[in-house]
Amino acid sequence: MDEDIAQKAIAKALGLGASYAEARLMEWEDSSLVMKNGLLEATGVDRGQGIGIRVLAAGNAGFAATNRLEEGNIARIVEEAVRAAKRASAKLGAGLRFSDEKPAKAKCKVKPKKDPRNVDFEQKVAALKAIDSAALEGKAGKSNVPARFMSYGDAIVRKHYENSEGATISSEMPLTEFWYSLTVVDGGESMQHHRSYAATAGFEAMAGWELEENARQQVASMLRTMREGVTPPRGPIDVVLSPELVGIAVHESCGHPHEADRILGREAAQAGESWLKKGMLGRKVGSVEASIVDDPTIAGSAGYFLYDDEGVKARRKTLMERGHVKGFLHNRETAAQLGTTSNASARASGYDKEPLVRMSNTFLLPGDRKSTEELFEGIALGIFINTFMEWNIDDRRWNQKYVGNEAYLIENGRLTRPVKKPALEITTEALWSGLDARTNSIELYAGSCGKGEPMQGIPVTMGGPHARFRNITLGK
Amino acid sequence: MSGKMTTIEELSELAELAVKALAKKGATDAVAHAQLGDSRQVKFANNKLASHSTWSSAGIGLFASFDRRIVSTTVREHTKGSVEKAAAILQKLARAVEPNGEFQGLAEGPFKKGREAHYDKSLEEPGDLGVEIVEKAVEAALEEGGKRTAGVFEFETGQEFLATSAGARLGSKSSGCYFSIRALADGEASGAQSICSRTLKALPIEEAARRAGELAAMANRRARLRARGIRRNMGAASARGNTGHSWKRGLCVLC
Repeated sequence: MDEDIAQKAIAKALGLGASYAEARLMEWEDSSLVMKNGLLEATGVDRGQGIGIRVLAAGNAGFAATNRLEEGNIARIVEEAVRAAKRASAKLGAGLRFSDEKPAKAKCKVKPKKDPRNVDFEQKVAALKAIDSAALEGKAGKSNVPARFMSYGDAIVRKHYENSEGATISSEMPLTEFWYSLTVVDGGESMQHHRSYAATAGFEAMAGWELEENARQQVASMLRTMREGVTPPRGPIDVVLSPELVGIAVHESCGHPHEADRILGREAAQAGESWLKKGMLGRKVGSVEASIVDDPTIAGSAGYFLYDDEGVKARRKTLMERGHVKGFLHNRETAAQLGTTSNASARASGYDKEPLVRMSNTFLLPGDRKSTEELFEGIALGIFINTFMEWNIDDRRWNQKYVGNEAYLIENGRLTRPVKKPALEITTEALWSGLDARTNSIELYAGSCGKGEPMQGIPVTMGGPHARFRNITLGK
Repeated sequence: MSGKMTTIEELSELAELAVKALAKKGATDAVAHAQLGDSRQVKFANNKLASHSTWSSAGIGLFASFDRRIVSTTVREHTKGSVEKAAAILQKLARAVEPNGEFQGLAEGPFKKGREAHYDKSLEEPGDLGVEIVEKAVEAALEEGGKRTAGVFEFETGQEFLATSAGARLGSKSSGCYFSIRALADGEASGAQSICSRTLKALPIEEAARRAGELAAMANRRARLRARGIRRNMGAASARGNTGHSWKRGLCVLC
C-alpha cells in the first residue's frame, strides 16, 4: 500500500483549513461462493483498494471516499469534504469535536494457518458440497429439505490508518465466513434454520466449525419437532436459553441500545434510537446475574480488532454490571458529546464508509453452574430453547420477540418432548430481570450486524452461557 | 498517485477489451459493465448536520459463462494488464465450477436503445445545494409539529458502458436523488417519509418533510388520547405503536 497517499490527503485537508483529518487506506483480496440446492449459483473473486478521508472543519464533519487513487481525484474529493464541512449553515452547524485520545502507533497482523488465497477453488466448492450432502443424509430425503442455501466468503484485508494527531496504525487480517439456511418440510409444515459462522482466521476455520455435523443435526431436529412437537405452554414458566439465544438477546436488547450514537439520536432515521438516555448510567434493568460486556480483543473471533477505525486502542467494555447500566459504546464524537473518552467502538465496514459506533463480540458473562442440567433442576414445567428461527425488535430495543426453532419441554427437571415455535415476547427489563442462573462457560455465535445508510454489515459475535430466566410468559 | 483522471471512454475501451479477452479464453458468454460516478450524502440528526459524504468510484464488473460455468469479478485497476489478468483468473475459476443448468445464456440482439433516462446536470456540481435543501426540509418538518428530525439527502451522477459478447453496446448517463426524513415528536411518536427521483426537480422534498412533521404531530396526539383512554379504562399508560409511516415514489426505509 502506498501510505504516501494517506499522508498527502491529510496534508491537503489541513492545508484547506480542516482542524482535523484522518485517512484510511484499504486493500483487499477476496473470494466468494453461493450454493443453492447443491448447485454453485455464483462465484466471485475480487481485489481492490480505496481510501476514506474524514475531516473536521468549522465544527462539522466531512467524509470522502474513492477507489480512484489518482492524485487529482483525491485532491478533488478532499476539497469537497472540507468545503462541505465549512459551508454548513449557521442553522445546521453541529459544533462537533472529537474526544482527546493518545495517538497510537502500531502494526498488527494475523497470519492465517491456511491462507485462503492458496486454497484451490475446487476445495472450497467441495467443502460446500459436503455440507449440502450432509443436510440430505440420515432420515431426511431430498423432499424433506427442498431449499438449501449456503454462502462462503474469505478475505485478506490490509488497512493503513493515519490522522493529523500523529496516529499511525497498519494491520493485515484474514476473515472467513460461512452462512446457511435450511428449509425442512414435513407433513404440510415447514421449518427453517439459518446460522452464520465467521472468524478472523483462514480456511482452517471451516474445519473447526463442524458444519456437516451441524447441518445433519439441525435437519434431524426440525424433522423431529414437526413430527413430535407439542404446543408451548403459555406460562408464566421458567425458560432456559442456549448461548445462541442469549447471544441474540444480548446483541439486540443490550448491545444496540448501548451504542451512544443511537442514544444521542444520530441514527434516529436509520438504525433507530435507544431505550437508554444519556442520564441513565447506573439504572437497574436486570438481576444481579446480568453482566454483559463487549470485547473486541478475543483473538480469532469475528469481531476481533486491536485498534478501532479511529485509531483508538481496543478494550473490553462493560455494558451491564450486575443488572445495572454500566457504560455506553463510544466513538470519539459521542465520547466528546458526553464528556468522556472513546472506548474504541468506531468501526467502518470498508474504506468508503464513515466509522459508526459498533459492537464487536458481545456476551453475557458466565456464572457458576457446572452444567445445563443444573439449570433444569427444580423446574416443574419449563422450556429450553436451543436455536431460533426468527426475531424482531423495536427501534428503541425495548419490545422484542424471539421464536424458537429447536426447543424442548422441561418437565420435572428433565428435557422431554420437542416444542413447536415457542415465542419469547418480552421487554428488555423483564427479560434481564428474570435471569437467575448461568452456566460457567460461554459460546460465541457469529453474525453480520447491520447499521447505517449506506448499510454497513460488519462481522460480530454474540453469546454467553446457558441461562435460566424465571416466570416468563410466552407470546403467541 | 498519478495526476491523470480516469475517463468513461478509457473504461469503455477496457470493457470492450475484457469481452474480447474472455472470449479468447473460451467464455461462451461475457459481459463487461464499466461505471464511473460521484455520489453525495448529507446526513442530518437532531436538526443539525451529522456529516457530509462524497464518494467517487470507478470499476468494471465482469461476468462470464464458460459453457454455463458462471463466474464474476470486478476490475478496479484500470489497465490493459489488469483486464487480461482478470480474464485469466475467471477462466481458471470456471474450471472449479459446475455448469448451472438454469443459465440460458445472454439475450441475443438486435438491440434497440430505448428512451434516454432523465438526467439532471445540476447534480454534477452541486455546490451548497445539499446543505440548503436539508436546512429547508428541517424547517418544514418542525413547522408542522416535529420536534426533532433526522434523515439523509443523497444524490448521484454517473456514466456507464455495457458491452456483451452477444453484441449489446450501451453507454448512458444517469442521475438520481433520494430524500428520507423521520420527524420525531414527544415520546415514541414519529412520522417518516422517503422519496426518490431521477431529477431534483421531480423530488418534492419540502412536501415530504412537511408530511413527516404532520404525521409525527398526529401520532403524538393519538398517543396522548390513547394514554388518557387507557388510564381511564385500565389504569396504565402505554404508547406503543405510534409511528406514522408514509412514502411516495420510493421505499420506506424506516426499520
